[in-house]
Amino acid sequence: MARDGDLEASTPEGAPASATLEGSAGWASVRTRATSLRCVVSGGAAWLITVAPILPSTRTSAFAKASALVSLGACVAGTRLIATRAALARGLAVFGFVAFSALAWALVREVRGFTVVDPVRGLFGALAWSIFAASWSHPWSVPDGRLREAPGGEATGLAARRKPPRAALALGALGPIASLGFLVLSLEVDDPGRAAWARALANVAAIALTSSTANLAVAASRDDRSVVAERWPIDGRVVRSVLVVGLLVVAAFLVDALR
Amino acid sequence: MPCGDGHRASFPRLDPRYTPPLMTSRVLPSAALFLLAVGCFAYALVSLQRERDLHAALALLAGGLAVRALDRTIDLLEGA
Repeated sequence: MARDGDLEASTPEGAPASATLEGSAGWASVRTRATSLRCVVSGGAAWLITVAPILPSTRTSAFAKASALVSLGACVAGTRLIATRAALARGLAVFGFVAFSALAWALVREVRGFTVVDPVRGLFGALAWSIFAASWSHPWSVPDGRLREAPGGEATGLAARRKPPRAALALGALGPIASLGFLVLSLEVDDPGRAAWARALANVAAIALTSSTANLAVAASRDDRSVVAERWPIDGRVVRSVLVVGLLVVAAFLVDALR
Repeated sequence: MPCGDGHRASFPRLDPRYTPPLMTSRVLPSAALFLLAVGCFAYALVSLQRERDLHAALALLAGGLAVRALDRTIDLLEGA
């Protein structure tokens, strides 16, 4: 049972393999409603943050306000059509929504009042539109009928051939965790001249260790014994590098001792 | 050649449920070098904070060498 659970968890949103899609009308209905809800909520959030402020302004034209309302209507109407008319749904809720939102902004007369967006609203707006785009990139936004016709394995997105060991994932996470620590440490440097060096050092160390641990996680989870060397991964270059590190540590102690 | 579920069943390692074992013993040198690099970089940052620039430079150099050694162990792990 646990293995079946693992398989289900490996597909997007716990979706069953396409072979079981036939006859799963109840699940498909829930999935379609979830897709519609996700698309309308993300689109509505983006509209509320970036387009809605046009409506209450007395200095914006009626056309701008109408475009803002039409864009919201397109978003809502399009998401309602996902299950039945996918192409029209995409046309309305993606292209229509974005086009009318852009038109509403273009028609705003009082330029200064709206184009100079405060950073927080701008950040949230960019985030909301990104989430809106991601919500429509999901494969479940195609009709259920077409999903049922898809060949085995094609309707579940890009499934991994196998799961990596958890220990490998932990290895890969070590780099970002250490990097976060470096970035926090670098913020503790108060001297302005040294602070810039500290930030640069922290970033370089973060990039180096994150990429190294990611490579290590991939290498450690390989299962092809013909590729992976059987002996320990140590050679002359590794030993020489470690020896030089030891010499540098000794040098640091000597510097202290000679003062 | 058959493909799809039948093909997948005849090759267990293509099964998404299959998890290969981690080569724990051969990862140890890389893990040790990772810790060494972390220690060096952390010491470099602490040295900068305490305005000990020479120590910071030495630790940065040591950290760079530790990362170089770490990358080499990964190459060897992959059979280079």
